[in-house]
Amino acid sequence: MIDGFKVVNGGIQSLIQDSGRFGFNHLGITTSGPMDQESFYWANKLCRNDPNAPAIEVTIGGLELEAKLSTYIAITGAEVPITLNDQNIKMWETIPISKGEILKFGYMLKGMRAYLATAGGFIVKNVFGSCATTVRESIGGLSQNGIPLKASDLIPCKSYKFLPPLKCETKPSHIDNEIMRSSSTIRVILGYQSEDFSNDQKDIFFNSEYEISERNDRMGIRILGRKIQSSITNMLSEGICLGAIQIPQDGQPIILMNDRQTIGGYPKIGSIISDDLDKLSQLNQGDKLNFQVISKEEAHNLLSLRYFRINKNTPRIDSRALALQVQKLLVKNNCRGMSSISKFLPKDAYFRAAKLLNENHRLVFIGTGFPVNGSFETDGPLGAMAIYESIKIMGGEPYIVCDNPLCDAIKHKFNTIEIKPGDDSSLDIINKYNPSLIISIERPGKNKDGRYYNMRGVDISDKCANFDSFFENAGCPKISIGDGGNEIGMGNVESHLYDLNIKPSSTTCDELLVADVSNWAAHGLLAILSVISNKNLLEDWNNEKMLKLLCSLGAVDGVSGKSSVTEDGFSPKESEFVIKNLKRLSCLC
Amino acid sequence: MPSIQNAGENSIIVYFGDKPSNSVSSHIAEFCNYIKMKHETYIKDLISSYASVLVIFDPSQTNHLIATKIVKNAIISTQEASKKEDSHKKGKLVQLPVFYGGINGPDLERIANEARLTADEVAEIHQSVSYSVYAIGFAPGFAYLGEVDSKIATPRISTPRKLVPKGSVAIADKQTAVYPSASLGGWNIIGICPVPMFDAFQKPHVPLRVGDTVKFKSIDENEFNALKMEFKNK
Repeated sequence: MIDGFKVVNGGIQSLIQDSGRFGFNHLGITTSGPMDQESFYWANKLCRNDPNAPAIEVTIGGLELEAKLSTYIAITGAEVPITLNDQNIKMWETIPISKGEILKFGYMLKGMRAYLATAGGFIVKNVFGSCATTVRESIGGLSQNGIPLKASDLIPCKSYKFLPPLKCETKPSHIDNEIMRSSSTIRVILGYQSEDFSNDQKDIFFNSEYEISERNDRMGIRILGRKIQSSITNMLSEGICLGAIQIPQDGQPIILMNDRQTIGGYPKIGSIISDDLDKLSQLNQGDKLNFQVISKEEAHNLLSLRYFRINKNTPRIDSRALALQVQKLLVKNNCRGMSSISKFLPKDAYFRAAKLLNENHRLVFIGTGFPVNGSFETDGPLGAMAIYESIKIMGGEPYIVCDNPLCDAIKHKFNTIEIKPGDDSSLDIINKYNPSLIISIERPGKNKDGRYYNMRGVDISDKCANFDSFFENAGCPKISIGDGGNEIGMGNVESHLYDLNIKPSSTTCDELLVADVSNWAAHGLLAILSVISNKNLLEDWNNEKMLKLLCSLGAVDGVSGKSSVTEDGFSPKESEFVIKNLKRLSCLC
Repeated sequence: MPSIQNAGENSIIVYFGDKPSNSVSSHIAEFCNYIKMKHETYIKDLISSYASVLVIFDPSQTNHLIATKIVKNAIISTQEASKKEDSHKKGKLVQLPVFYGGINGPDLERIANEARLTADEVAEIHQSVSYSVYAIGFAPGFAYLGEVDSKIATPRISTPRKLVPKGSVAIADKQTAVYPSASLGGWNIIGICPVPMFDAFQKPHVPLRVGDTVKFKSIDENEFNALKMEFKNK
């Protein structure tokens, strides 16, 4: 069965809309589509959809939906209070929604129409190339019969685990300004029978204030104000374009909107441009408006600018919200209890760490290497190398700080600083290099008894150099990455680690990052750093190739202790999948 | 020479004359065919109606200036052709069966009374004319047919009916039409036609095109029911 959103309450009027039905006007079929196009496009953009993907136009409000799957949504358009399980949520940004949650629209505070998009778009069959709902024509919508959404409908869509958290930073101007409070200027190209309106009649029309009447819907908006008349007494019906202003015998203009009849026999003075149709579709009964003539060349120019603006204004990734999703993704397997531990860390730890790295990348020490049976494990060094490469791209100077045999194995390819068991030269090294930031990744940290233990609780102090002293002695910021509890930095959550089957480390840091595999945390950190620094730091990283290189230099799997091309038991494919998801989340692919 | 006017930011309208005539209709048909044959991707739709064609273009691909050039070319290239050929040559002849009067034609008797004719005579006069499809609009598949014989031409009813049944055959002044779907309507209803005028899910979606010719033919209730079943099971 296809899942989606179940309609609990259809509200005043909620319609499935895509960008519209084009090319069938000659059969009498109207264009339909969203009344406020720019807001509609934004809803889709925030879900990374095709801009024309099916979304819901909510008029006035009251729509209530139950999510039958977990995915992401975005709501744009008129200002309206919206709750997700009774918690207020924001408009103009991507919002995760979980199976069983209730999404509820209140009533519009400002404007008339809001747009709800879902990741991948709602899945609705087309009629005449479009799923746009035209109630008047009994065409389109969920059952192709033009019926608005109603209780117990199921609107199919796909489930999404991860979607980049996007945010609209500059709302369309017709939404952002005080349109509802002051008179809106609506621009018009003269056309059709405009020559049959005398100059006096035109003066009245373009110099008077009008008001939206109670008769305004998707078909047309009747406005009230000074009456005007043409010299035409009888005319033949003719094709009507979107935004045409027709003047019936009573002299009160009607603006023909998306669901207009395709032909009509009233004189028309001209037509309104797209930018102002968006504005118009958000006006309420009683709102004031006035008209201004522009040339067709000016209209075309404004339309080009509109296309340019709609294409250019792309949503920004909300890096703090991204950090939350990265955290969720990286502890999903919870193989060593890190999912539970992550709850005791700041929610946006990955964002904070990425920010620290962005601001302090001048000279970075990256401490890594967990001794395993006279060798070293793949987890740690691989992530350290990825961070190392990124710091170089950023223009910084990275050093991998480690003990042997790791140091000898990688020093021909990376700048390294060797540290030795039982020999603490941290102060000399810090003074010599003056690091701007210190990172530890999968580096053993001292237990409160001052000894180092591996994951099986075996004392490895005599084979393990002291990197903890760098954390104690350096004045610069420190970031730690770990996946078990016995690594440097875990001191931040020490009291919670006693529940895990591990001899925890007491060494603290400024920002602690946890993950199922420490290497993955490095990629997560770099994904967020990519967004913050606007550089694609994951682009050139070939994880499997680097893993194989490391294995050829003698690295072993940290969990099995054996020589295999894996990271803590995870195959290169599994790591690649995590990296791919990180790239997707950060819009890096 | 037809005149060209602005319509909106994505459209221009061409007026081929002041009123519909055979030569106007055939010029419109030639003009539309010419533009369609060009397969210009930026021409999105052509709404022909009585004596005009609204040309809708994609303003992200073109502008008024270029669209006007194409339209001018089309007008000139088809002017001669449309004069030479007889009217409606391009259109097809469509015969539509009508079950006149009874509960399905509530206004037939009134029209007959007002015209001092019998109901059968009104039906006969309605069948006697070959109607041109002047326009399709108002609702999907709603074809405006003309011209109705002045003997039975009747103005719209003063208060429109809330529900005119699908298939209703109606008259308004010199126009006649078949309601493609149940809707609000102010025309005088004289009978019912079993042929669907609009079907969103089956082809042809709309059996008529602007420029076609329509003849009505009287059928009785049994024939009507049989035809209705036939279309239903199609």
